[in-house]
Formats: sequence, structure tokens, C-alpha cells
Amino acid sequence: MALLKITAPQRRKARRLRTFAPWMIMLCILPGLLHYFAFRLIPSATTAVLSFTNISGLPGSAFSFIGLANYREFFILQNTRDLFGALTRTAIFAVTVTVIQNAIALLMAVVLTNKIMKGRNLYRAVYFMPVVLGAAVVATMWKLLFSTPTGPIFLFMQGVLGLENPPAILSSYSYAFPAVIAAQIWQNMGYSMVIFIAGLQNIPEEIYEAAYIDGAGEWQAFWRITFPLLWSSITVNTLLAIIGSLQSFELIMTITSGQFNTATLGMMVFATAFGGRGATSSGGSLAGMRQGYAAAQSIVLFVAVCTVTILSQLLMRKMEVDQ
Amino acid sequence: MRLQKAFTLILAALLLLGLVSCGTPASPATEAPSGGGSAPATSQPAPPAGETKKVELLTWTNEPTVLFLQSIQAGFQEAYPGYELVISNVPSGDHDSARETRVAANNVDIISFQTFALPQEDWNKDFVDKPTWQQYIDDGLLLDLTDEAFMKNYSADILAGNAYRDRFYSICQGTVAYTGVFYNKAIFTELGLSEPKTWDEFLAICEAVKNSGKYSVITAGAADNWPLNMFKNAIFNAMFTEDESSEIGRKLMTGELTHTDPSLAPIYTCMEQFASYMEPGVTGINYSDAPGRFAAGNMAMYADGSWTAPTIETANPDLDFGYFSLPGLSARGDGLPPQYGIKYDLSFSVPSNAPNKEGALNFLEYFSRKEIYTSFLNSVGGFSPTQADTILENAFLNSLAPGLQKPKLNPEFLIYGLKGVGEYGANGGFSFFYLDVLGGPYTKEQLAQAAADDYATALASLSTLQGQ
Repeated sequence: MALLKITAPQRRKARRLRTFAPWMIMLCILPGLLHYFAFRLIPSATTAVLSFTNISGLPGSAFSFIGLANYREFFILQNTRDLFGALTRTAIFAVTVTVIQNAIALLMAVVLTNKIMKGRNLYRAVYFMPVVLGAAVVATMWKLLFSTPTGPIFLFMQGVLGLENPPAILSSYSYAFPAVIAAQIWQNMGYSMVIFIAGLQNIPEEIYEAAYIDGAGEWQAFWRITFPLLWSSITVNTLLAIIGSLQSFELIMTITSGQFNTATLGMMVFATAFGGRGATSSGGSLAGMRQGYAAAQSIVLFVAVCTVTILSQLLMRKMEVDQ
Repeated sequence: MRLQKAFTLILAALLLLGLVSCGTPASPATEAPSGGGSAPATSQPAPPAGETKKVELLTWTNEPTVLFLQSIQAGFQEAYPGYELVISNVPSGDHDSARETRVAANNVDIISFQTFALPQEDWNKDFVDKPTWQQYIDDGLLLDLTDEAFMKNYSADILAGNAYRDRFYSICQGTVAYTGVFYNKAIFTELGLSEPKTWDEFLAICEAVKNSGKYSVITAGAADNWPLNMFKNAIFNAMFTEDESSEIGRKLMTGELTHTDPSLAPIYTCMEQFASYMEPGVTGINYSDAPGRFAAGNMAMYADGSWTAPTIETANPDLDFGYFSLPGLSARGDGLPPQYGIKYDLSFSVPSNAPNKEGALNFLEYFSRKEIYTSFLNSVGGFSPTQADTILENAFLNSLAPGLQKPKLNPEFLIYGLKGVGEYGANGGFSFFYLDVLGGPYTKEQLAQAAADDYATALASLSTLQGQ
């Protein structure tokens, strides 16, 4: 018992070793806080304020407060069919990307954490690689892949599938949107996969061993052990994918410029603020450079994203408790 | 413990340094823009001997133009020692965003616009948004170039066409014909075809090429949208005078005319006929790839503006090609061949906040010199002159002369986009891409109806908005 006795100086030393002093913690947090304030909170708050102005976005141009005029214009003048089209596409984009991206990422994570798999680290790196590529690079690759009439996909449809007049995928009202969704999933799947891999590696081996001794099969082990213990990773990935896809416009902008029924609400906001063909859902009759109006659109988008995020978080929490 | 402290301090310092370095470096030459769009064109003194000041020029990617600008860098530096021309170019689709970003960052001295057309005015301010160029001028963000000596080098008519409230804020360096079609002369000769004078003759050419079974009929860089939609302007140009096009645009905007009106039916019919002869998959062909497809020699025609001629020549110097304007339903009564619709193209402006205004003005002076400007037109090959008495040596440009005897300002610059109009009303309600022959959802009649509905909805919404 005497061996276990720790003296007061020893306790203080151990505490010092275990923890940082409060000022050190504050110092470490400070850059993050500054970054958050400078690049997140202040711009977001400014956007909310600017949504009540007629600021154009051109440097040095005068602007004034116009009350709710931007919101009134958005809800009255914006073509309802186009607006609901964009909202529907935004929802389809978010749901499809979230479900498929996470399903593939989970599958890949399970495969790439299996010990019998050779070269796991190489595959992980390869599948993660698209995450570090910029939207412009990804868009260029997809445009080359689908280019007409010399791209490999077009030639495959013509030569192997025997289609006499294959569709131009990225300029098709039927196929352009699925192609953009596929690009989004391809680019971001690696990120979700890494989170799943981290989650899988935290599940103790002993639980599986005990389950196998009790006669569980691979499938049962996955559903009864892996899936419930991975739930926090699934929650994180789902929320990240929902938020990311609701806000996403970069790939749409770079691949189709919002044409051919691919404009989401995020794309419309960008085109309104900075000019471009997606200012309306696929034509662009707005002149662009109306950042006050775009700010109002952003706030509407923010409310939509916030509502969906809170609802999905509540749902995920409930499911986590049920698990 | 000491190690932890050191680690903490270093980490915090590095992160703070990272944050600080995100800021824009202060520019000593930055000036606040003056209001009213009439900033003085005077600026800073010339750089001291031995010092070089950069003149940053931003334009869109047009290979011959960029190559020419690069070719005169040394000459400019010789004419104006101490100044160095730096050229940036970005694809046309990204150009406007890049321009606004560079102006906001105060790091560009010469910027490019296409044309100062379709302004918001008292009569239409309830129907249209203010175009970007007008925002620039109204907010005092462009230098007023009216009193610069080099402006006298340019044709008064051209300057007037690009004026705003009788002042000049840009110099148009060329007009372009862009209601025409390039054609492969060898294929035309082989099939016994000649330049058409009427729309029926044009259709007969398309049919003959199609029936030959050896060649594709027409291609375009349609994936970029505008190159194909540009041809709705060509069809307008062929059928209506400037005044008629302008009046159609005004009446559509005020609801006095709808897209289903019989007078507009030929537009949709011609659009459908034109689209039906495009090569398969044309909506997926990138604009940058299209000249090469025509230059390869198996394509009878290529729909694009005259500015692409040098690109085709570069892609295949042996290709013998010509250019004709899309004809109207009937031949012209004056015996002239179909006349081109033209537009003002590459126009240089100087932002009020340019860090090197004097250098920018020096470059514009240098560029406007007769020998430099003539050399520019001959090198670029697709622009018609905006300086009087310019003698051209470019065979292609000279071949356009018969179609430029009575040119018209293109309808693109006469028909406004209605504020808040839905997607089928975009491009004035005449978008090729919605036609079923190109994979879109509508027949020509349905498209006319959809455009009319979108215009009606927008006009009703505008009325509601203004009534509040």
C-alpha cells in the first residue's frame, strides 16, 4: 500500500506534466479563434448585413440600405419554376451525394482495414488523392473523360456499346446532372473513407474475437459490432456530406456552368454575385455583380442548410441512442 | 515543461504569422476611385531611370491577340523605357470574374470589355438590370479617356458607338463579323456548291453535303453555349433590320409582342433547321476544340465569328476556307450579298484604381499608333479596323469586304434580357439548347410557348414588385 502512496509534490509535478497552463491553452486557441472570426464569423455576419443593401461588389462602388427589397425580389421576381427546380436539384444533389458517397466510403474503409488486404496504405493514398485535387483539376479530368466526340466515354458508347449517336453527357438535360453528382462523389469519397478508417481502427479486436467465438459470421459481426460502434463516424460523415453538398457549386461551375439543369442554389448564388450563366437556373438573364441580392440568396441558402443540418443531426442522434 | 512551452509559443507564432500573411500587401500606388465616372487621366510620374514599372494588362484568351501583345512587349519598352508590359489572359468564360477580382485587388492597369451595349436607361430601368460595364462607369471605376490625344486615332463613328453619355471609357480595337459560317472551299467545289444568297439555298447546301455521305455538315463549339446561341443573332440579322430587331426586343420586354406571334415563327423554324444539320454530339464539343475539327478537312461548315480565322489557319495552313453571312429568307433587293452583323470587340479600359495609370495610358498611346495598330489587325486577322484609313494586308479580312458594305449592329446588342425571366426566356427567348433536335425538351412551337410564358410570368412579377 505504501508503494502506491503519491506525495503532494509528485502530484503537482504529474499535473504539470499532464496539462498545459491556462495561458498556454489560450495561446494555442487564439490563432484558431482569430481565423474563425476573421474568415468565418465576420464574413458571415457581413453577408447578412449586406443582404439588406444594393452593393454591386465592384470595388469602391457606392451602396445603400434597401431594407427587404432583395428578399422581396427573390421571393416575388425569381421564376418560381426555376427556383423550385434549383431547390429540388439541391436536395437531390445533397441526398444522393450523402448516401452514395458514404456507402462507397464505408465499403472501401472496411476493405482497406482488412488485414488480409495487401498494399492497404497505397490504396488508401490512391483513393484519398482526389480530395487534394482542386475543383478545376477534377472538372478538367471529367470534361476530358466525357468530351464529345473524342472522349473515352463517348468512344466507348460508340465502339463497344454500339450506340450510333451517343449522348453528349455533360451537355445533356438527362445525364449532365448525374455526371456532376458522380464527380462530386469521386472527389470527396476519400475524405469520408479516412474518417471511417479511423473509426474502424478504434474498434477493439477483442470484441470481434469474442463474437466469432460465440459463432457470429462476418455479416453479423458487421451489423452487430462494426455498424453500431461506427455510428459516431457515420454521423460526422453524414453531416459533412450534407453541408458540403448543399453548399457545393465549384464542380458545377467548372463542369457545366450551371447549364443543362445542373444549377443548384449555391450555383445560383455564385452566378448572381460574380456573373455567369447560372444566375437563373440555366440561362442567366441576370447581369451578375449584384452581391447584395446574392447575399440575400445566401441567407436563404443558409437557412435551408441550417434547417436540414439541425433536423438530420437530431435524427442521427436519435438513431445513435436507438443503436 | 520547457519543451512544451517552446512548442506552444512556436506553434502560436507560426499560426499567427500565417494569418497575418493572408492579408493583401499594401500598394503605395493605390488611389481611391473618384466618383462620377470622370476620374482625371493624370497620375504618377514616370519611373526613375533604371527602375521598371509593370503595366498589367488582362484580356480573354484569343491566341492571335495574345501572341501579338507578346510580340510588342519589347517595342513598348523601347518606346517607353522604364515600363514593362505584363499580359495575363484567361478563357473567355472566366474572364469577367477574373477582371472583377483583379480590379478589386488593385493589381491591373488595363482591362478588357467587349462592348458597352444594352445600358439601363430611364425607359427600361424597371425591366433590366444594369450591365457590369455601366456599373463600372456609374461608380467612377473607369478612367474617362475622352480627352486623351490618342483617341483621335480612332474613327469617330466607332467611338460614338461605344460612348456612354457622350464620354469614352474604352477604346474598341476592332469590330468582328460574327453572323457567318466558315466553309471548306474544296468540299464546296467538289459538290458544286457556292455561297448562298437565300435561306433555301443554304438549306440546299446542307442537304447536298449530308447526302454526299462523305462529310459532316456543320460543327460549332456548342458545349460553351454562347457559340451556338450566337447564331440566333445571325438568323435575326438575316431577317430583320437593326431597327426591327430593336423594336422586337422592346416589344417583347413590354409585353406588346409575344414569342408565339407569327412574325417570330420563322426565327424558330430557321433555328430548328440550322440545328438539325449540326454534327452528332455537337452540344458536347468544346469551343476550343471546334476550329480543329473544321480544320481537319472533313467538315463542310463551321459556325463561328470571323476572329477564329487565324486559329483555323494555324491548325491547318493548307486548308482553303471562306466565310459567308447566313442569308435571309429572300435575297436582298439591292443586289448585295448577305451582309454581316457586326459587334464591337476587344475594348481596352483603364480602372480608376490602376496602380500604374500613366503606364496604362502610355501603352494605349503606343498601341494606337498607326503602324502598331495595322500590324495588330494583320496579325490577328479576325478584326475589322476601328481606325480610319487602315490598309489591311490580310487576305481573309479583305475577303469579308463584300459582306461589310452595309453591316448591321448585331441583335445581341439590341435585345435586352428581361429581369427575372425564367430559363426559357434566356437569350431573348431564343435558345437553341431547348430544341429537341439538339436533345432539349421542346419542339420549336413548344419553345416559343415556353419563352412566351416565362416572359409573361416575369412581367407579372415585375408588376407585382413595382406595385408594392
